[in-house]
Amino acid sequence: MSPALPLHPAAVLHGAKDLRIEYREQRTPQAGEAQVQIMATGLCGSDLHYYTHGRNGDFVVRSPLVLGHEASGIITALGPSTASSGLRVGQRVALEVGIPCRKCRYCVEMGNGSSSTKGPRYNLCENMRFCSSAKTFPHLDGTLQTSINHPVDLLHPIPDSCSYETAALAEPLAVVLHASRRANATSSPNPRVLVIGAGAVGLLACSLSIALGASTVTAIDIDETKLQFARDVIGVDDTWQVPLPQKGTPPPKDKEEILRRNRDMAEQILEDLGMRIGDGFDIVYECTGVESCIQMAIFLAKPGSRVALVGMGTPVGLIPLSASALREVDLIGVFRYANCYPEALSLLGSGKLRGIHKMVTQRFALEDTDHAFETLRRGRGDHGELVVKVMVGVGHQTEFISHLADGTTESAELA
Amino acid sequence: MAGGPFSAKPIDGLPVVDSNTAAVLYGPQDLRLDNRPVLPPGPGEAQVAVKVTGLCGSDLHYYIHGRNGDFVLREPMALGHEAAGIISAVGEGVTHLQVGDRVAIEAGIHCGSCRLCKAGRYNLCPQMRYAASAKTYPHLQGTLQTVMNHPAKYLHRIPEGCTYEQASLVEPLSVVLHASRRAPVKPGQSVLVFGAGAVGMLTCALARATGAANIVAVDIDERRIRFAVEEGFATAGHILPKLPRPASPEDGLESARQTAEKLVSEYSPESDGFDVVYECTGVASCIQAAFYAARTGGKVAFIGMGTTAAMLPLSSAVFREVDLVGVFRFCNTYADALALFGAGRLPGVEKLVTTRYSLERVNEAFEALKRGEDQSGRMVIKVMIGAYEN
Repeated sequence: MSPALPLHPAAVLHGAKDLRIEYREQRTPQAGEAQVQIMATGLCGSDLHYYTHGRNGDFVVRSPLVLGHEASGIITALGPSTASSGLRVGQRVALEVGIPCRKCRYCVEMGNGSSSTKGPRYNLCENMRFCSSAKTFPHLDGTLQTSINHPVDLLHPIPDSCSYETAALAEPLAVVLHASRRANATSSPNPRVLVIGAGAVGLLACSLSIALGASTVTAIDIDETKLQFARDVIGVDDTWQVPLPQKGTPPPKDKEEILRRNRDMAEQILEDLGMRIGDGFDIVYECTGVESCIQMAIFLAKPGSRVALVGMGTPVGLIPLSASALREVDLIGVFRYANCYPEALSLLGSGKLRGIHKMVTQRFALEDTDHAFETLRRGRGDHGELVVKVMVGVGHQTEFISHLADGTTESAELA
Repeated sequence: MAGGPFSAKPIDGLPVVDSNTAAVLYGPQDLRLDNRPVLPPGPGEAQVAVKVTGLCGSDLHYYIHGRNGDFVLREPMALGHEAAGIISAVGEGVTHLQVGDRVAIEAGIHCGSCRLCKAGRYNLCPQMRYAASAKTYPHLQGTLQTVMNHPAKYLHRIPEGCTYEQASLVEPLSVVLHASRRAPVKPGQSVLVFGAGAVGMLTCALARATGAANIVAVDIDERRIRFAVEEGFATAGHILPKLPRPASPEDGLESARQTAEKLVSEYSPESDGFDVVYECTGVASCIQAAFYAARTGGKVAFIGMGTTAAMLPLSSAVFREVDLVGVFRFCNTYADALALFGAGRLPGVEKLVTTRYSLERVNEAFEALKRGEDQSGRMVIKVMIGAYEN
């Protein structure tokens, strides 16, 4: 009779704001999988939506779901048929939680005859299963738990110079890296870059742009404390705070007037930054998904440039075609990432990304995950401090538990 | 009378150029034939006896409204910008052309020194002056003249086997070629084209020449769709019902989504959309449908002009990585476009020239273009004004 499999804690969502810590059996990894002890999970806006509303847009949680998808950990066991992965027990890894089907047109490398099943656009896999998402059913659990089994080719080694929390930033950094590739960021040497939205993703876009050699990086947001972080910690060249409407200003009477006001604001921004009308930025990363911001992104882009739509928000928006199509300002769609983790981790370990080590602003134990979500929702910590990235589970696992072939375990203190 | 007694090509050979007749717009629906002085070409210029000018939607807008969107006529302006002719004189310093050369006229003059010009994207040059456009002032006069001077670098020799009419079509073909560079089609891919006018059909023809397997043309005009399919431009055609104005923006988007769903399920059922969608109408409902009809990871190229702002389904862009690719005129296309004609790569395209008038009958020509049919009720796709035999 084999010993009972050990139990490990998981933060499980049962409905809106109904998060319960449950103890689940640790399963043996299957063929092609590794068992990973999760060391850190960053929380993101989509997790927050699920937590707060029990849904994210059209995707409703239909059965208990573990959230979290920005994670790093340590391999505790390897399943069968994993020898060619090059991974070993005790290896530190970042988890890429989107599991592509390996068979559809986006997964299979097209045209060059190779047998890769991670084609250049596998992020668009027709049958993608994303851990922590309620889009597909049965849902795949996310990383807000202590142990998870995961396909080995989606586990990426972490550089020695990179902590677990920094490695957990690989996920949002991968989004930004993917955006920079789709926007052909490296085609113009030393571009002038604009980032709209100075949340975690926007700040990573600023940091990446600096590392990639932008001549200037400008950040725009409504929140001055975020812009201060962008200036002081990331080191952007300019910031501009979008003012809240002044008291007594009549509300806009229709969408066309909102568009006009945004165009005027864009002209003001260009003037304040010392740029001429007709000039503008080479690349704009729109990281809010807010309609007005998307409009401004277009007005602020130079003719012949690109706006990367990174932020997800408004499903429809009024788009100025005279400012986009007629000026050959392309709107580039960005959905998650493909083949980005290795470069993201390399950048994280390189020291080239300024401000990375200050991006994790609040940390919570797994047992306090609901407190973590509340903090993220408020945008402010318990003492009013700025929220950039909230992380869960960091520094609370001090034991490395390894499962031996005879079913017993041994543990050792982690360094 | 159009078609009929006219031969399919204008009178060849070098005409006498001691006088110049120009079709000059003075205001809405006020197009007059003026006598203009014949000037010798300046340094770097050449004088061209214009053989043929094709008429385009923007010329029509100026003719009807005296403006094209925001650009209002401020002084008398000769219309026309899709032209070809024969060199009648060369100015000082011009070595690559000689009298008697047949040339296609590239009607835009760019500065050559700004960042965009240096990057090879001179179509976006902020100093661009385009013939028959009121965007800049003084207006650069158009090609509906019997003789004109033009910077020689924009005069491209027409290869053997390419007619004047084909050379005039190089202008709209250039827009299409530029669009296909910005949003390329690979052999075997599927293409959806909104708008079966001259530009839409040239788009279909180029997609076919590139090896697209599935080319679907969409229009509200049944005759144009029939023409597109019968002449082999498109592999399939779809007639869109002319819908009433939507009750709300949401209704409009939903209607567009349904149109797209129908097009995809009927003509591209093996995918969730078309690889590339070329939007050639500028109409908001078509622009919206274009987005919905693009496949995940596909592109929508915006060629048509007419709507300054539209509600777009951004979720398509973000969740499906559908890109919106802008297209404004063209750059560095004339040589390739002429080569395509010279090599016979676009068979049947000359059939797009449905209607021909002499310069003296230019007002009739615009009326026919406006109605979409000539006085005999025949469909108009491309009208050409030229020195046709009578």
